[in-house]
Amino acid sequence: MNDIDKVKLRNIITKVLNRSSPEDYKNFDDLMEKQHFNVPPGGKPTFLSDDDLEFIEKNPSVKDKFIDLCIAFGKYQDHIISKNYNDTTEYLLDLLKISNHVREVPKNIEYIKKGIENNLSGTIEEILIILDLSHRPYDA
Amino acid sequence: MARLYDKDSRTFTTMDVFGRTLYHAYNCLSPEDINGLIEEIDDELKSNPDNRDGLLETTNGLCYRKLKNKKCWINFFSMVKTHMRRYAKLTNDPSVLQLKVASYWAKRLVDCTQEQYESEIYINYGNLHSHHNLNLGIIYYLENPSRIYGTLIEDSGREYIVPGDENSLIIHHPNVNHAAVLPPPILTRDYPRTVIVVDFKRYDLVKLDE
Repeated sequence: MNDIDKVKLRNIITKVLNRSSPEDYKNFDDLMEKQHFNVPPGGKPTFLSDDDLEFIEKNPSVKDKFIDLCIAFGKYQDHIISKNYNDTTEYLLDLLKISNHVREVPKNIEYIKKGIENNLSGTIEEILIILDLSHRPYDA
Repeated sequence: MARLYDKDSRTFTTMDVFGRTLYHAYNCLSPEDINGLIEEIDDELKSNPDNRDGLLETTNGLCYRKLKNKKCWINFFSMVKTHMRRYAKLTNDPSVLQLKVASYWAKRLVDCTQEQYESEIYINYGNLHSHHNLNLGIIYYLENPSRIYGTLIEDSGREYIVPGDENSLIIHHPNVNHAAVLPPPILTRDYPRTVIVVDFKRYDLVKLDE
Protein backbone atom coordinates (compact mmCIF):
# COMPACT_ATOMS: atom_id res chain seq x y z
CA MET A 1 0.00 0.00 0.00
CA ASN A 2 1.54 3.28 -1.08
CA ASP A 3 1.10 6.68 0.52
CA ILE A 4 -1.76 7.66 -1.76
CA ASP A 5 -3.63 4.46 -0.99
CA LYS A 6 -2.99 4.91 2.69
CA VAL A 7 -4.61 8.33 2.62
CA LYS A 8 -7.42 6.98 0.47
CA LEU A 9 -8.13 4.19 2.92
CA ARG A 10 -8.10 6.58 5.84
CA ASN A 11 -10.52 8.92 4.06
CA ILE A 12 -12.90 6.10 3.19
CA ILE A 13 -12.91 4.86 6.74
CA THR A 14 -13.58 8.36 7.99
CA LYS A 15 -16.51 8.66 5.59
CA VAL A 16 -17.98 5.42 6.87
CA LEU A 17 -17.47 6.45 10.46
CA ASN A 18 -19.17 9.77 9.80
CA ARG A 19 -22.22 8.03 8.42
CA SER A 20 -22.55 5.07 10.70
CA SER A 21 -21.62 3.10 13.72
CA PRO A 22 -20.19 -0.01 12.12
CA GLU A 23 -20.04 -2.35 15.10
CA ASP A 24 -23.16 -4.21 14.02
CA TYR A 25 -22.12 -5.08 10.50
CA LYS A 26 -20.60 -8.36 9.43
CA ASN A 27 -18.66 -7.13 6.44
CA PHE A 28 -18.52 -4.44 3.86
CA ASP A 29 -21.41 -5.82 1.83
CA ASP A 30 -23.51 -6.10 4.96
CA LEU A 31 -22.76 -2.49 5.74
CA MET A 32 -23.84 -1.45 2.26
CA GLU A 33 -27.04 -3.45 2.46
CA LYS A 34 -28.14 -2.43 5.94
CA GLN A 35 -27.34 1.20 5.66
CA HIS A 36 -29.12 1.56 2.31
CA PHE A 37 -27.59 4.99 1.80
CA ASN A 38 -30.26 5.77 -0.77
CA VAL A 39 -28.91 2.99 -2.88
CA PRO A 40 -31.29 1.82 -5.61
CA PRO A 41 -31.33 -1.90 -6.38
CA GLY A 42 -28.08 -2.66 -8.13
CA GLY A 43 -26.85 0.85 -7.44
CA LYS A 44 -24.08 2.15 -5.30
CA PRO A 45 -23.96 4.20 -2.10
CA THR A 46 -23.75 7.92 -2.55
CA PHE A 47 -21.45 8.65 0.34
CA LEU A 48 -18.59 6.77 -1.29
CA SER A 49 -17.24 7.93 -4.60
CA ASP A 50 -16.57 5.74 -7.59
CA ASP A 51 -12.89 5.98 -6.75
CA ASP A 52 -13.59 4.84 -3.20
CA LEU A 53 -15.52 1.81 -4.36
CA GLU A 54 -12.96 0.95 -6.99
CA PHE A 55 -10.23 1.16 -4.40
CA ILE A 56 -12.07 -1.20 -2.08
CA GLU A 57 -12.83 -3.66 -4.87
CA LYS A 58 -9.22 -3.67 -5.99
CA ASN A 59 -7.97 -4.45 -2.51
CA PRO A 60 -9.63 -7.67 -1.38
CA SER A 61 -7.71 -7.73 1.87
CA VAL A 62 -9.01 -4.28 2.69
CA LYS A 63 -12.54 -5.24 1.74
CA ASP A 64 -12.39 -8.40 3.82
CA LYS A 65 -11.21 -6.48 6.83
CA PHE A 66 -13.14 -3.32 6.17
CA ILE A 67 -15.51 -3.34 9.10
CA ASP A 68 -12.77 -4.34 11.49
CA LEU A 69 -10.64 -1.57 10.10
CA CYS A 70 -13.46 0.89 10.64
CA ILE A 71 -13.97 -0.27 14.21
CA ALA A 72 -10.27 -0.18 14.90
CA PHE A 73 -9.85 3.18 13.33
CA GLY A 74 -12.83 4.57 15.21
CA LYS A 75 -11.70 3.27 18.55
CA TYR A 76 -8.04 3.97 18.19
CA GLN A 77 -7.85 6.82 15.75
CA ASP A 78 -6.01 9.04 18.21
CA HIS A 79 -3.29 6.44 18.49
CA ILE A 80 -3.21 5.76 14.76
CA ILE A 81 -3.14 9.39 13.75
CA SER A 82 -0.59 10.38 16.37
CA LYS A 83 1.82 7.61 15.49
CA ASN A 84 4.41 8.70 13.00
CA TYR A 85 4.49 5.92 10.46
CA ASN A 86 7.60 5.83 8.33
CA ASP A 87 6.50 2.75 6.49
CA THR A 88 3.08 2.43 4.93
CA THR A 89 3.13 -1.32 5.37
CA GLU A 90 3.64 -0.80 9.07
CA TYR A 91 0.64 1.50 9.08
CA LEU A 92 -1.66 -1.12 7.63
CA LEU A 93 -0.18 -3.87 9.77
CA ASP A 94 -0.71 -1.80 12.87
CA LEU A 95 -4.29 -1.20 11.88
CA LEU A 96 -4.82 -4.89 11.21
CA LYS A 97 -2.97 -5.77 14.39
CA ILE A 98 -5.50 -3.81 16.36
CA SER A 99 -8.52 -4.74 14.29
CA ASN A 100 -7.81 -8.46 14.58
CA HIS A 101 -8.52 -8.18 18.27
CA VAL A 102 -11.27 -5.61 18.28
CA ARG A 103 -14.16 -8.03 17.94
CA GLU A 104 -12.95 -10.59 20.44
CA VAL A 105 -10.93 -8.43 22.76
CA PRO A 106 -12.14 -4.84 22.90
CA LYS A 107 -9.24 -3.76 25.04
CA ASN A 108 -7.91 -0.34 25.64
CA ILE A 109 -5.04 0.80 23.54
CA GLU A 110 -2.51 0.54 26.35
CA TYR A 111 -3.09 -3.18 26.57
CA ILE A 112 -2.54 -3.65 22.86
CA LYS A 113 0.50 -1.41 22.80
CA LYS A 114 1.99 -3.50 25.58
CA GLY A 115 1.99 -6.51 23.31
CA ILE A 116 3.41 -4.58 20.41
CA GLU A 117 6.24 -3.16 22.46
CA ASN A 118 7.24 -6.22 24.46
CA ASN A 119 9.79 -8.74 23.39
CA LEU A 120 7.56 -10.27 20.74
CA SER A 121 8.50 -7.39 18.50
CA GLY A 122 10.38 -8.56 15.42
CA THR A 123 9.62 -12.24 15.98
CA ILE A 124 7.41 -14.73 14.20
CA GLU A 125 5.16 -14.65 17.25
CA GLU A 126 4.43 -11.01 16.51
CA ILE A 127 3.58 -11.89 12.92
CA LEU A 128 1.20 -14.60 14.13
CA ILE A 129 -0.55 -12.05 16.33
CA ILE A 130 -0.82 -9.62 13.43
CA LEU A 131 -2.31 -12.33 11.23
CA ASP A 132 -4.59 -13.60 13.98
CA LEU A 133 -2.94 -17.01 13.90
CA SER A 134 -1.53 -16.92 17.41
CA HIS A 135 -3.14 -18.63 20.36
CA ARG A 136 -1.03 -16.74 22.83
CA PRO A 137 -2.33 -13.72 24.73
CA TYR A 138 -0.22 -10.64 24.34
CA ASP A 139 1.57 -10.73 27.65
CA ALA A 140 1.86 -14.46 28.06
CA MET B 1 20.82 -20.29 -5.86
CA ALA B 2 18.61 -20.59 -8.93
CA ARG B 3 15.51 -22.63 -8.31
CA LEU B 4 15.30 -25.94 -10.10
CA TYR B 5 11.74 -25.67 -11.37
CA ASP B 6 10.44 -22.14 -11.45
CA LYS B 7 8.14 -22.59 -14.45
CA ASP B 8 5.49 -24.69 -12.75
CA SER B 9 2.11 -23.32 -13.80
CA ARG B 10 0.01 -25.36 -11.40
CA THR B 11 -1.99 -23.64 -8.66
CA PHE B 12 -3.51 -26.14 -6.25
CA THR B 13 -5.19 -29.51 -6.11
CA THR B 14 -6.88 -31.74 -3.57
CA MET B 15 -6.92 -35.48 -3.33
CA ASP B 16 -8.45 -38.10 -1.12
CA VAL B 17 -5.76 -39.96 0.78
CA PHE B 18 -7.13 -42.77 2.90
CA GLY B 19 -10.42 -40.97 3.41
CA ARG B 20 -8.98 -37.56 4.27
CA THR B 21 -8.60 -34.49 2.09
CA LEU B 22 -5.01 -33.66 1.30
CA TYR B 23 -4.37 -30.24 -0.23
CA HIS B 24 -1.37 -29.39 -2.38
CA ALA B 25 -0.60 -25.82 -3.53
CA TYR B 26 2.16 -24.87 -5.94
CA ASN B 27 4.20 -21.74 -6.69
CA CYS B 28 3.51 -20.43 -3.25
CA LEU B 29 6.12 -17.70 -2.80
CA SER B 30 8.16 -15.28 -4.90
CA PRO B 31 11.87 -15.95 -5.55
CA GLU B 32 12.69 -13.03 -3.25
CA ASP B 33 10.74 -14.52 -0.37
CA ILE B 34 12.22 -17.96 -1.00
CA ASN B 35 15.74 -16.59 -0.86
CA GLY B 36 14.87 -14.55 2.22
CA LEU B 37 13.63 -17.64 4.03
CA ILE B 38 16.64 -19.70 2.97
CA GLU B 39 19.02 -17.03 4.25
CA GLU B 40 17.18 -16.56 7.53
CA ILE B 41 17.00 -20.30 8.21
CA ASP B 42 20.67 -20.73 7.32
CA ASP B 43 21.62 -17.92 9.68
CA GLU B 44 19.49 -19.35 12.50
CA LEU B 45 21.03 -22.81 12.08
CA LYS B 46 24.54 -21.39 12.09
CA SER B 47 24.08 -19.04 15.02
CA ASN B 48 22.00 -21.18 17.37
CA PRO B 49 23.73 -24.23 18.88
CA ASP B 50 20.32 -25.77 19.60
CA ASN B 51 19.92 -26.82 15.99
CA ARG B 52 19.69 -30.61 15.72
CA ASP B 53 17.06 -33.31 15.60
CA GLY B 54 19.07 -36.42 14.96
CA LEU B 55 20.80 -36.08 11.63
CA LEU B 56 18.64 -33.19 10.52
CA GLU B 57 19.33 -29.55 11.24
CA THR B 58 16.32 -28.05 13.00
CA THR B 59 15.48 -24.48 13.95
CA ASN B 60 14.52 -25.21 17.54
CA GLY B 61 14.82 -21.54 18.47
CA LEU B 62 12.91 -20.01 15.58
CA CYS B 63 10.09 -18.69 17.73
CA TYR B 64 12.52 -16.63 19.82
CA ARG B 65 14.54 -15.28 16.92
CA LYS B 66 14.61 -11.59 16.13
CA LEU B 67 14.01 -11.81 12.41
CA LYS B 68 16.40 -10.21 9.96
CA ASN B 69 13.95 -10.41 7.06
CA LYS B 70 10.53 -9.90 8.59
CA LYS B 71 8.82 -9.26 5.28
CA CYS B 72 9.42 -12.74 3.87
CA TRP B 73 8.00 -14.31 7.04
CA ILE B 74 4.92 -12.10 6.91
CA ASN B 75 4.44 -13.22 3.32
CA PHE B 76 5.01 -16.84 4.28
CA PHE B 77 2.44 -16.92 7.08
CA SER B 78 -0.01 -14.81 5.06
CA MET B 79 0.32 -17.38 2.30
CA VAL B 80 -0.27 -20.17 4.81
CA LYS B 81 -3.39 -18.44 6.09
CA THR B 82 -4.70 -18.00 2.56
CA HIS B 83 -4.38 -21.72 1.88
CA MET B 84 -5.96 -22.63 5.20
CA ARG B 85 -8.98 -20.50 4.28
CA ARG B 86 -9.20 -22.20 0.91
CA TYR B 87 -8.92 -25.60 2.58
CA ALA B 88 -11.79 -24.68 4.91
CA LYS B 89 -13.91 -23.73 1.92
CA LEU B 90 -13.02 -26.77 -0.16
CA THR B 91 -13.74 -29.15 2.68
CA ASN B 92 -16.79 -27.19 3.82
CA ASP B 93 -15.31 -27.16 7.30
CA PRO B 94 -15.46 -23.71 8.92
CA SER B 95 -13.82 -25.04 12.08
CA VAL B 96 -10.53 -24.89 10.17
CA LEU B 97 -10.77 -21.11 10.39
CA GLN B 98 -10.65 -21.36 14.19
CA LEU B 99 -7.33 -23.19 14.23
CA LYS B 100 -4.27 -21.43 15.60
CA VAL B 101 -0.59 -22.10 15.14
CA ALA B 102 0.69 -24.59 17.70
CA SER B 103 4.29 -24.89 16.53
CA TYR B 104 6.58 -24.23 13.59
CA TRP B 105 10.12 -25.00 12.61
CA ALA B 106 12.38 -25.60 9.64
CA LYS B 107 14.29 -28.81 8.99
CA ARG B 108 17.22 -29.12 6.66
CA LEU B 109 19.23 -32.08 5.50
CA VAL B 110 22.58 -31.13 4.05
CA ASP B 111 25.07 -33.78 4.91
CA CYS B 112 25.52 -37.10 6.63
CA THR B 113 27.38 -40.27 5.84
CA GLN B 114 25.86 -42.89 3.59
CA GLU B 115 25.94 -45.28 6.54
CA GLN B 116 23.99 -42.85 8.71
CA TYR B 117 21.50 -42.31 5.92
CA GLU B 118 20.92 -46.01 5.46
CA SER B 119 20.66 -46.79 9.14
CA GLU B 120 18.71 -43.80 10.41
CA ILE B 121 16.78 -41.83 7.83
CA TYR B 122 16.13 -44.00 4.81
CA ILE B 123 12.44 -44.26 4.17
CA ASN B 124 12.18 -47.82 5.47
CA TYR B 125 13.95 -47.10 8.73
CA GLY B 126 10.80 -46.32 10.69
CA ASN B 127 10.58 -42.61 11.16
CA LEU B 128 6.83 -42.64 10.78
CA HIS B 129 5.19 -40.59 13.47
CA SER B 130 1.94 -38.80 14.24
CA HIS B 131 0.72 -35.96 16.45
CA HIS B 132 -2.60 -36.82 18.02
CA ASN B 133 -3.05 -33.43 19.65
CA LEU B 134 -2.86 -31.49 16.38
CA ASN B 135 -5.65 -30.87 13.89
CA LEU B 136 -3.90 -29.87 10.67
CA GLY B 137 -0.33 -29.55 9.51
CA ILE B 138 1.45 -27.58 6.82
CA ILE B 139 4.62 -28.73 5.10
CA TYR B 140 6.23 -26.20 2.81
CA TYR B 141 9.02 -27.52 0.58
CA LEU B 142 11.47 -24.64 0.49
CA GLU B 143 14.37 -26.49 -1.14
CA ASN B 144 14.36 -29.96 -2.59
CA PRO B 145 16.70 -31.60 -5.07
CA SER B 146 13.78 -33.58 -6.49
CA ARG B 147 10.03 -33.71 -6.02
CA ILE B 148 10.28 -37.43 -5.38
CA TYR B 149 11.53 -36.57 -1.88
CA GLY B 150 8.18 -35.60 -0.45
CA THR B 151 6.20 -36.95 2.47
CA LEU B 152 5.15 -40.52 3.16
CA ILE B 153 1.69 -41.01 4.66
CA GLU B 154 0.73 -44.35 6.19
CA ASP B 155 -2.59 -45.64 7.44
CA SER B 156 -3.30 -49.23 8.39
CA GLY B 157 -0.44 -50.55 6.31
CA ARG B 158 -1.35 -48.50 3.25
CA GLU B 159 1.29 -46.02 2.06
CA TYR B 160 1.15 -42.92 -0.11
CA ILE B 161 3.97 -40.53 -0.99
CA VAL B 162 3.02 -36.91 -1.60
CA PRO B 163 5.50 -35.30 -4.02
CA GLY B 164 7.62 -32.57 -2.48
CA ASP B 165 7.68 -30.04 -5.28
CA GLU B 166 9.91 -27.13 -4.49
CA ASN B 167 7.95 -24.01 -3.47
CA SER B 168 4.84 -26.10 -2.88
CA LEU B 169 2.84 -26.65 0.27
CA ILE B 170 0.67 -29.47 1.52
CA ILE B 171 -2.03 -29.42 4.18
CA HIS B 172 -2.25 -32.82 5.80
CA HIS B 173 -3.55 -34.48 8.94
CA PRO B 174 -0.66 -34.78 11.41
CA ASN B 175 -2.59 -37.27 13.53
CA VAL B 176 -2.03 -39.78 10.71
CA ASN B 177 1.36 -41.47 10.46
CA HIS B 178 3.76 -39.58 8.24
CA ALA B 179 7.49 -39.29 7.58
CA ALA B 180 9.82 -37.24 5.45
CA VAL B 181 11.20 -38.93 2.34
CA LEU B 182 14.77 -37.71 2.51
CA PRO B 183 17.29 -37.62 -0.33
CA PRO B 184 20.64 -39.41 0.04
CA PRO B 185 23.64 -37.31 1.03
CA ILE B 186 25.15 -37.53 -2.44
CA LEU B 187 22.34 -35.18 -3.50
CA THR B 188 21.91 -32.99 -0.43
CA ARG B 189 25.57 -31.99 -0.25
CA ASP B 190 25.00 -29.94 -3.37
CA TYR B 191 21.34 -29.17 -2.91
CA PRO B 192 19.80 -29.47 0.57
CA ARG B 193 16.25 -30.48 1.32
CA THR B 194 14.66 -27.84 3.54
CA VAL B 195 11.06 -27.78 4.71
CA ILE B 196 9.11 -25.44 6.95
CA VAL B 197 6.50 -27.13 9.10
CA VAL B 198 3.56 -25.35 10.71
CA ASP B 199 1.16 -27.25 12.93
CA PHE B 200 -2.33 -26.06 13.76
CA LYS B 201 -4.49 -26.79 16.75
CA ARG B 202 -7.89 -25.82 18.06
CA TYR B 203 -7.60 -23.81 21.24
CA ASP B 204 -10.39 -22.88 23.56
CA LEU B 205 -11.16 -19.21 23.60
CA VAL B 206 -9.17 -17.39 26.23
CA LYS B 207 -10.55 -14.35 27.94
CA LEU B 208 -7.62 -12.03 27.96
CA ASP B 209 -9.05 -9.59 30.46
CA GLU B 210 -9.22 -12.04 33.32
